[in-house]
Amino acid sequence: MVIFGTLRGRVVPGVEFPVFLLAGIVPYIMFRSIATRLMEGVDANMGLFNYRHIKPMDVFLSRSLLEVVLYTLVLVAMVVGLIWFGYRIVVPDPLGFLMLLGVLVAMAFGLGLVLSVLADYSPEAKPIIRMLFLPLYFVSGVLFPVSMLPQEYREWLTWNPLFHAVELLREAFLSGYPVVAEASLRHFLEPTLVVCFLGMALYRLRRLDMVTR
Amino acid sequence: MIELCGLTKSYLTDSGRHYVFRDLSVQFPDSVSIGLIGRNGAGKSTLMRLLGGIDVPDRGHISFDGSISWPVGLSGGFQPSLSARDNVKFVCRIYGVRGAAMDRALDYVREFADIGPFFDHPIKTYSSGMRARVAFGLSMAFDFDYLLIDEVLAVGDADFKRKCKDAFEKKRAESNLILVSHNMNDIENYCDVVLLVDQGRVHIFEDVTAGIVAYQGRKTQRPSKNPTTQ
Repeated sequence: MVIFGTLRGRVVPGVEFPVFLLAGIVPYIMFRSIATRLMEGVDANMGLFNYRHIKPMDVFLSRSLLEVVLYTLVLVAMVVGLIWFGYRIVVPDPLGFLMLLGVLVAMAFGLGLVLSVLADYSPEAKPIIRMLFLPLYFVSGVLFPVSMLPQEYREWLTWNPLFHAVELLREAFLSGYPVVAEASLRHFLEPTLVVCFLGMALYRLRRLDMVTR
Repeated sequence: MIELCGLTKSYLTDSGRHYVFRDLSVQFPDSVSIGLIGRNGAGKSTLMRLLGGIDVPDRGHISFDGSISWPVGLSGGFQPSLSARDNVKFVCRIYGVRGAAMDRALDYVREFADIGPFFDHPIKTYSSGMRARVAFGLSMAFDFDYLLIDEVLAVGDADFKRKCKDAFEKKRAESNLILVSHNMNDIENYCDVVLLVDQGRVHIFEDVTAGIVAYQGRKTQRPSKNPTTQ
């Protein structure tokens, strides 16, 4: 609340705070949700692996699909709600926004695969991983405009691919949003490829051990 | 005919790799009900999981061109947050049973399980007995060439036990059983052939009684490895 309070006054000019928040928060929560749901997927559906057709990948794909549909609906509902309350939302680059969301889903999926292998290897890590998503929330610039931060701190944040994701998503969603110079699509796409590769490679190696108790 | 070719299966344990089967090749006799017997930890359930396709061998393969069910146990493969009805629908769909056939399967399971309104409540609210009733009904609703059964043939109260037995009798006309059991009466009643699993080997006994005798002999005088195999 304190953060919200102090921020309300000093948001980017020309961009209303709820709209600003919406553009970052829904994609981020979708990202977190896909990754953590995949992490818990194998345990939660253990019974289903009794049927020979069902592989862990089926669980991962269906869980991801469910989350994507869910958060798309949430996004649409919130946009409609905000417009209803008189906020002006004109998305300057809707296709770019959807493309970025797609990449974000791919990254969440890859990360989810990595986490599910990790969770299978050591189930004790699960609550710790879940807790780590909170600091990630803050360093991704979901709650505040990163242009507020001094340059030398901002440079540290650029190590986080989600920082680029959130910033680019805002650029595509908000008209007149002053995107920071550091934000680059490359630094979002390349880690996504790496994470997806890592996730699928680990899955390939461990897919049989995952379903044996 | 089910055939195991050069089957090797091991598990990684804290004290190194434990081989359950090493280069095992067996031809199961054709279209008969098979009883799997052996000591605890001999590999009966592993063999069943391999046959059911839940586990994959390290090397070798299992060839069979018919259908084998999932292992029918107490718990069953259920999604606990869904109702029995939805679970049955789910299993119907993955086995390609749709439309009117699915409705028939649903009616059959509901009637067989006989748990009243709970059929539409989430599985996680069930008692273990109710769960087993649904699991049994579900496995009886499909036609497989082989029905895999792990330990439990009949569950619940006397009435339901009789129902299970009746269903099995009927089922035996069109499908065969692969039964893992420590209950020798069940083995004798339901199986035509006995496979004794012992120390990574599988011994086939065409004569059920001989198999049971061999198993019980082995159990009582374990240290002396008397070769009563074929």
